[in-house]
Amino acid sequence: MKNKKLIFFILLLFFAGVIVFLNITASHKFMKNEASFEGVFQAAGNVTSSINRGVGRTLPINSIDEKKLGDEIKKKYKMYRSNGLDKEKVYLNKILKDLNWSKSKKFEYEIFVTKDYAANAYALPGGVIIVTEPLLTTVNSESELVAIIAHEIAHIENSHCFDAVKFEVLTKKIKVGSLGKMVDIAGNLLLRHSYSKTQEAEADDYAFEVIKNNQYDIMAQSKSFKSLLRNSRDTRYRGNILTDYFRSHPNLKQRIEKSEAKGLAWQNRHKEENRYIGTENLNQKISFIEKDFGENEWTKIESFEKNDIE
Amino acid sequence: MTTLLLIILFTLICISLKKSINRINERIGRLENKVKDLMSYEFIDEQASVEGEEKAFENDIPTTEMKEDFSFNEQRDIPKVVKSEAVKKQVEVKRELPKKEPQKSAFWENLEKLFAGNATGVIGVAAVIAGVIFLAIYAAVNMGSLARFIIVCGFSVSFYAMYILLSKKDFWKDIALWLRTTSGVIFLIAAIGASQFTYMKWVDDGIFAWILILLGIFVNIGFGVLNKKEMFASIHIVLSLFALFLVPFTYLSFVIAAFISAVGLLVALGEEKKWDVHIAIVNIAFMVTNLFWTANYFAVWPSSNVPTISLCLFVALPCLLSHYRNLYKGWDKKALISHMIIWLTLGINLYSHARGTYLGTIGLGIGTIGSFILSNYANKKNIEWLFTCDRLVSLALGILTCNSFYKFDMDYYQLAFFATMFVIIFMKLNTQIKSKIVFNAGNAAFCICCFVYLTFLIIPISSRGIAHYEWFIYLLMSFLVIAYLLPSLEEYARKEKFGLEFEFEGEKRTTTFIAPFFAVHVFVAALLAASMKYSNEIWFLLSFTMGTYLILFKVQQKNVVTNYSSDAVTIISAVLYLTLIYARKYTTIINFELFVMVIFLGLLLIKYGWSEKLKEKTYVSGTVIIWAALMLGSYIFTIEYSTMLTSVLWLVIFLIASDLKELYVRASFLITRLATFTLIAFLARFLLVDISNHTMLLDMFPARVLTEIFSLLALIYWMMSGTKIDNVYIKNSINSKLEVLLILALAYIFIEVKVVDQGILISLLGLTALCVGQKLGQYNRVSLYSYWLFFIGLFNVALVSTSTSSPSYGLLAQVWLKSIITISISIVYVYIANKNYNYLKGNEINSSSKISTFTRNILSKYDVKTIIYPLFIAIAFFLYRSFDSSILSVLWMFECFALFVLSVVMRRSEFRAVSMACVALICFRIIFYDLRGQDFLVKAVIFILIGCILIAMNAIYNKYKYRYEK
Repeated sequence: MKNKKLIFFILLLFFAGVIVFLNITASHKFMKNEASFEGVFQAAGNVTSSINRGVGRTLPINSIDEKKLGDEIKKKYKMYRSNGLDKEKVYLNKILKDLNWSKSKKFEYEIFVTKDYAANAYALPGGVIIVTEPLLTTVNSESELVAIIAHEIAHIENSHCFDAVKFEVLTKKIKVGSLGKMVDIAGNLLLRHSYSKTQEAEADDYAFEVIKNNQYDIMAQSKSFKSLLRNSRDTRYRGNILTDYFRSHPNLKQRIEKSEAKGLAWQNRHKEENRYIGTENLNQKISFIEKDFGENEWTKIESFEKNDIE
Repeated sequence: MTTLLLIILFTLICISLKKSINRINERIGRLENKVKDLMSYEFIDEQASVEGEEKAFENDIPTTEMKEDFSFNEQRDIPKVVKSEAVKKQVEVKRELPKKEPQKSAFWENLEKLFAGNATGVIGVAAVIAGVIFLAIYAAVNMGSLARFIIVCGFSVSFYAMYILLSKKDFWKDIALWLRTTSGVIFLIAAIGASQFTYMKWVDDGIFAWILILLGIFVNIGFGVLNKKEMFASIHIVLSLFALFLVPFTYLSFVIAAFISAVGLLVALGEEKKWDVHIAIVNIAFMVTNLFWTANYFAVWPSSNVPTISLCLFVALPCLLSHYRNLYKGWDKKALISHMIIWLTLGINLYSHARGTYLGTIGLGIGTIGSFILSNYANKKNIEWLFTCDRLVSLALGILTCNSFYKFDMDYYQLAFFATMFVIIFMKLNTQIKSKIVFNAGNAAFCICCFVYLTFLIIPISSRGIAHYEWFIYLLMSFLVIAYLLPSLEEYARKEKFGLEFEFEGEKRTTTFIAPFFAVHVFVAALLAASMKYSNEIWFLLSFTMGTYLILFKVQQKNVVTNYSSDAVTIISAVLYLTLIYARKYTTIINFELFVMVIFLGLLLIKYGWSEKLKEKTYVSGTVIIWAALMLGSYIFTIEYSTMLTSVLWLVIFLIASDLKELYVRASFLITRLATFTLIAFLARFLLVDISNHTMLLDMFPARVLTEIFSLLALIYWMMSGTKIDNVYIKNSINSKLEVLLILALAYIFIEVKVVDQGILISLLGLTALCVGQKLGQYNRVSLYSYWLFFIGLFNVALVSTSTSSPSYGLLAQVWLKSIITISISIVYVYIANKNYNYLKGNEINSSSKISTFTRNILSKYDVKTIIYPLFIAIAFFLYRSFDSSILSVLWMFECFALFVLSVVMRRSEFRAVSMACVALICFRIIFYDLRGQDFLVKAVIFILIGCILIAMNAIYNKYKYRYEK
């Protein structure tokens, strides 16, 4: 017994040595050393998120209800919000159509472009995605745009938006929607902060998978985050248990690091594969599916070596 | 006409219900009498029920007596005979015999009787009610808005009429009150609906709509007040407040809400009894109303917060004052909770309206002073609980006030300073009135504030380099205030025996916690002074003098510091060194020299301490110093290479510490504690820092995964050390270690694994826990936890992962595949658990923890059903989420068939019953739902498959039905 224990101890020390060696020799290291509760909240949010989702699935509402709700929202946006931005809308919806393979919900998705002062995109139940006009000038390429749209698709596919209004949808069926709305608001007030970061991380993972299974630049997601960070007014970040908890999204810098790490790892494993960036596609509002703008738009193998880690 | 018809029908239903209830009551009464009779002759009854087994006793008892015994129906005064000694003995012996199980046939017989006798009536009534509801819906759909409004009002009036009728009889009084409440609520709904609900809207004029709504509220509150009961008053007030949600929000709504709440409170104050729950409920309802509007209609609020805050105070103040009545002199838990709720809601209400303004700080300040003054008032009235409560509130509010100074551009250091000063002054003020709870709470608050204060005192050394001039002022002030107040506080604590209790020279003593903090404060200040560029020797000397003063003071008091002064001095020296190492972490090689010096100091202390008995405490200091140096060194010397190394090295320290405790038995207790601290430090660092690091190793996996695996292995090693299970203590410690391991593994799963994969790993963890638990035997409670892991795994399959979509083409990324794997693991779990279910039930597991007891109770109560049914339900959900409607019923049918076969194998007739019931439901679904619009071919396939399954079930049942009988 003692010998076995000794062998185990030596093996453990050897394993520790291997970890130390691998960490020191890792090709790309992130030297972030700030203490933050974000990771904990994200992991802990898994539990509340799962419970919330579980509760949502037990209610007598389904994708047909979501579709109905989506149709109502679409009607509203069609009436008020799409003035003067038709070209952008058509362009975005073509990109969306190209991403249709990734969705499994049985209703049509639609993107609306709105005039707003901030670069943003958000998803609403029933397949409605809103993209603000400044976002189109904030991102640098079509691939970045795809990363953002895929992120929003993930929110709809995983019912994150629908779950936030589940009781309202349920109670609308018996004509007391405001009661359900109250329950939703109360639920969201109490719980949403605990798992919204988890949902965002989930949507990021989903979007990365979409990019991976497409021909777009694998670093598109991290690049899109960088573009957003550059245009963000508030770039300060100080770890704080309270502010971390009440942030709806994970810290942008962390998201960049995460997607960059995944992207770089993928690149190093697929050195032969070139990916499409689509800067010109964005400028001319012609989707990649319609036109390939040639060699300059494809990533070069050499360019992988010089990544722009901040 | 329709209304009349409805009322008549409703009355008829009530009458029929009443008759049936009377009939049932009569029968219950008769049955009770019979049971009483039987109970009085219980021993005879037992005798009769075991007739077949009593032949052995017949020889000892006269035959005549036995005959008389069995004929108790005719002769009820027989007990005299039965009480004879022979029979008593006989009864005692027979009570030891195993009890005969009740016969099922009798149960079925009863069930049939019940169904024929009562259930048909109930079902008939239910059918009539359903008919009435349908009629009402029909009427509602085919009428205009005004008519609908009148119908609803008609219901309200009819309920009120019933109240008038029934309230005349005492027996029905309670129900009558409920009816009146219902009447009021329905009228309120009608009043609101008249202007707000689409199908009832007939009022368009705004003023008239408000008048109607106010009338509804008035009637509703009126009924609440008239009922003179706390519960009814609460219901009416809460409903009136929430009714306002249905109306478009204006500022007037808020004013009305405040008035409704105030009326509700006045009603409570007018009563002679305590209506604490009502007061608390009204407060909470008002707060919810307020928050709901604040969150949703921010733009509608007036620009000035003052009127809104005044209204909040208008509601809260009568509540607060309500507890200062003579009624509350005695201790009352309910009143205390109510009082705390009032403070809390007041705080939240004020906060919601004072955001971003200085009003919040002012409000909190006033609250602090107000509660302090109120507490004095409570003290005068001799209401002790209220005094304590208000003082604590004052303390909390004061700290919050200090925290709210951030609005004046103060940094954390300043906030902590003010909080610390406030608390110590508060403690001093409290010495006038003796209250142990308040003093100790202040003490605890001081420790926390002072800890934060000291933390921010140290930070500037590393982050800013040079401290600001104003810091000197704060430092000096805190210094003087604490030094001035400390002796009197210490004296007070000693005299009144408040604060921390400890034993000194066999005598029980008390102290505040302040002294050690002050000591650290002194040395940190000294350190600060020393590390500053314009090093101020005078300041250093001042600090040193204060430190000496403290020690001398402690010596005089013969306090805790005297006893451990040698330890304190050495530890503080080491802290000084370590802080210097930390402060210069990015500079020169001096760092390493200092590190070696500290280790040397530690070793010296250990050696020195072990040589002499009197100095044996020094080895404690030495061990702690070496440990701290290693921990800090692991951070400082590796941080430049990778941020992930610190945690790994800490785990190595933990591993070594796990072994060292066996080598150095004398220090084993201390080393165990240090190992535990190391583990806690690792967990803290991992959760706060490493978890956010996304470095990838070998371009395959995140670096932290290896750390996670290593930590789990280290924990297993830790578990192995000292695992000779020879006493209960060690056995229990293994349990705790296993629990830590399990929690950590579960946490890693949640951190690293996507939702869709979590089910597999959690089920696997559950299975492993079950197997490990079974192997470790009776002193292990991990197998009990395995049940919950199994359950979580199934929950994941049923409701979580199956509703998650994956955008990947790969087979391994498919959700359905992952769900099938989870289900397979769960089936293996069920198989193993069922094989040795008695073990899982935990009858042999010696554990009294709450979760163990709870799990054990569930597993014992519901038997093997606890593992079969969740699996069955999870599979059903999985099928529902994963397959198309047409094939779903067939798959469900297969699942039911599997359960049916299981019932035969396990000889459990309840599984058969469940599977049969489910089959019936599925057949209904097929007929009424699936077959709509289906293709003929699909219909044919479904019918053939289902027909086959049903035939197979029938055949199996006929062949093996004897198995259920055994």
